Amino acid sequence: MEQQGPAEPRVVVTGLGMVSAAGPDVGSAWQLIREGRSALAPVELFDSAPYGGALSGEALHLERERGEDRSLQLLRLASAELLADSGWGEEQRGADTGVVLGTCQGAIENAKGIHRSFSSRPHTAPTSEDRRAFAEYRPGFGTQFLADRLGAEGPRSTVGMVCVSSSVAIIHALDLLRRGAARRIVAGGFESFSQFVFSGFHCIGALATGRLRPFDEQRDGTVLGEAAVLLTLERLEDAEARGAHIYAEVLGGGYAADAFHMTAPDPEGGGLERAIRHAFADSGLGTDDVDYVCAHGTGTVFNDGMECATFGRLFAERAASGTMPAISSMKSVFGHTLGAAGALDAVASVLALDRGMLPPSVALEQPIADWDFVCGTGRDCNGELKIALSTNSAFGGNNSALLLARIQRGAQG
Amino acid sequence: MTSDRVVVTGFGVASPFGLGIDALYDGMLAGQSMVGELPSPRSALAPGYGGLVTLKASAIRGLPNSRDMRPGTMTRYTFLSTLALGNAMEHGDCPWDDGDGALRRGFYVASYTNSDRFDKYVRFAHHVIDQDQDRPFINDSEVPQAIRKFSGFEFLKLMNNMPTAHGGIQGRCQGPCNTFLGTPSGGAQAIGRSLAAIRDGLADTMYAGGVGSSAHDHMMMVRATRGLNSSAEVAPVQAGRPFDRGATGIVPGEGSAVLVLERESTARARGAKIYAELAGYGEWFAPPATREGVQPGPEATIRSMAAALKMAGADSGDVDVVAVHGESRNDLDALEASALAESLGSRVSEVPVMALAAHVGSVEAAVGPMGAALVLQALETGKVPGALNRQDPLPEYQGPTSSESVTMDARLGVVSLTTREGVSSALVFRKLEN
Repeated sequence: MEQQGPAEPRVVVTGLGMVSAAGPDVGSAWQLIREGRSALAPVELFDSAPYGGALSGEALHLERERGEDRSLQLLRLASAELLADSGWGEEQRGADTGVVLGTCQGAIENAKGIHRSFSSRPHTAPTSEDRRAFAEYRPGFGTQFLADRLGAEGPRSTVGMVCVSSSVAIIHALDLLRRGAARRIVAGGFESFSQFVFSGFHCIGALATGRLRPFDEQRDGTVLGEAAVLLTLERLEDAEARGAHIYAEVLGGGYAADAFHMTAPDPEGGGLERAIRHAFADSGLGTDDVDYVCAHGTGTVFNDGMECATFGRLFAERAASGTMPAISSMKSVFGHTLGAAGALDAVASVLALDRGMLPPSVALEQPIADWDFVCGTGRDCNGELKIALSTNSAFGGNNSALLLARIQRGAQG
Repeated sequence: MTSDRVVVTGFGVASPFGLGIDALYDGMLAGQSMVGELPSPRSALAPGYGGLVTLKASAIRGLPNSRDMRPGTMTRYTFLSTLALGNAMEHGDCPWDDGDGALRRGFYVASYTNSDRFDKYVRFAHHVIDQDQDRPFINDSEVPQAIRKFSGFEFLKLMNNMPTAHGGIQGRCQGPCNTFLGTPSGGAQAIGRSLAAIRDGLADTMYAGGVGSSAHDHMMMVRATRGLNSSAEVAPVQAGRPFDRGATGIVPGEGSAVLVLERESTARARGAKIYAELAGYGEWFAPPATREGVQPGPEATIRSMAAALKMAGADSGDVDVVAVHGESRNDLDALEASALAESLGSRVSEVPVMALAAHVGSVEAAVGPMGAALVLQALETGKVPGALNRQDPLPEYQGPTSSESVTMDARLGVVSLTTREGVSSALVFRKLEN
């Protein structure tokens, strides 16, 4: 990275939309975070007894509808909240508005539907339900669907990087805004809970036998969830001109690969460290500036160990002086939402900055390092929380980092 | 931001003609189509023909840094992507064991999806008949048993970032890596965003490309329900008919291509052969047509090409050769032809238009990168293939229709894509004086 210091134009977050296991909106998610409660519950979508029983982060408040893929149902609701929260009108429709989304498997449940009609009878005429399911199946459809709902005719792109998909989508959106490709972009991610993906995680032994316990000595796996999480990013000058509420500024981002193993992370976290250093270079910040790390924290032995190795090296001086930034993971509240996870962590960070409260990890009882892990309930920061670092890592050795900053009330800009 | 130009120092291709640009280009110069009958059980699905890459898994073995690559852990998309990247590394004589050089190298690749093996999962999960509706459906209670017949790799290899993950290891790319999904324009987007990544100082070298495998059950079913497949009633070699009134639909195909992009200074420092400058990129977006149909007009394609030419400091009068999507369905081809006519103006009748679909079928997100490889080869050799299966052109198409290849002093080539998803993109390559 050659760039140093904040880039122009400055980009801020002016709207949020989120549907998750916690509830149908951002408010219900923040309430759970503040109270340090978990939304994880026994699997409802299918009988999990053959798997030995398990928890999930399903959006149980949201009835499953026939006739629309679950992931699109989540996206539709999140987009309605986003539109209202962003205060958009007709003037925000058109070619200056873009959509960049990340997803792991898109409308994966539709893939089962694909074979319902064809595997046994390949030459029968497709039904209208078939046509709908097939049209929605490809991973890029969610982006198209959302752009259609928002009237967004600007840049569209879909990122498929598993667990870093939506954080990389936010970084791409930041890049597009900086180079003037659009004035505002809705960025984020979506993922529905599916038996197929659950089964896959089960067969690789990545699921928790009980609670999801990020950064805990007793952690033994993750719990899968579902969510659609959206953020409105726009240029600071535009946000100020229209009097929008500014949640936070996006200072910079970075991503980098391990090139180590196609599924296992580099145990030393070399790729994650490079991603964070890229984000520092992009924003002009350094390790001393970070007040809070919203870590990936999946609760698996390998991921959390890799992250701690990275943080220990990156923040070595602060660890030695007992001034480590506060660290927590949102997975124990919402489950691992895969393609939506990066955006969910970004929203948690944005809300933490906006409301001056550190989000806790739930079920963290025996931390694996003697650092400032936030646990219990939300921790009031008395205005000391200024910079948040949100990090994510994925199968395949892909890593991302976002740096977000609080905007001073009455002194925006 | 760097003032260095970004240049192409290698390009790799895997196509039904074989491995490497020469196999593809020679086949196209000879006017050949590699679309043929599909082997069983694929032939059970209409149209029953397509352009398959027939390279064996062992083809990977001889490629740079590929000794440990395991095709058994790859989907078709990942396998084809790996072939093209390895071929590009070989073509560009690219270093991979250069220590910290890996930190300044990235890989952007596009694929429509990566779920070609989903059929295997479904077979394991057993179909049962819903008596009320007389329709087969998946018995969810069998899924736990079914998934146990998957190994962990069987599941993980379906993740959409696996082409990137394998490529990152193969090319030793520890810089920015990304996967673009869901549109045939994705490959051109991957190249365009790689240009930006180098110019912004994120990397010195980017591998960038795309992969398509539209000849497996999954995608053939997807298209069949939307009525997009070509007719089973036509001869396979005549099925791919870009811009021709006789086109009946999308022809299943396979392919992949990867470009090696470098800062000019980096390329010259290592004595690399420079094929061309990647001088411009443009993308534009039509209002999304979410479920059926195509974008309302050609404006997005016109604007994307204009933006790319502007970035390159060129205009339509400089364009010597074009590679396009040419989907082989009249509705989208008419839009693309209209955009070409508007963009090229009075020169539209003389600028050769290369369209892969006639030779290998639909290659999805690889169409941009493979088109780029064709343009680069045209700039390099001065030969351009003639038009195949374009005897009865659409009224909107005003370009050349001759099947004869032409020889020309090509200096500037454009890749221009119009897509059903409303995402248009364009790349401009300029030959450099060495």
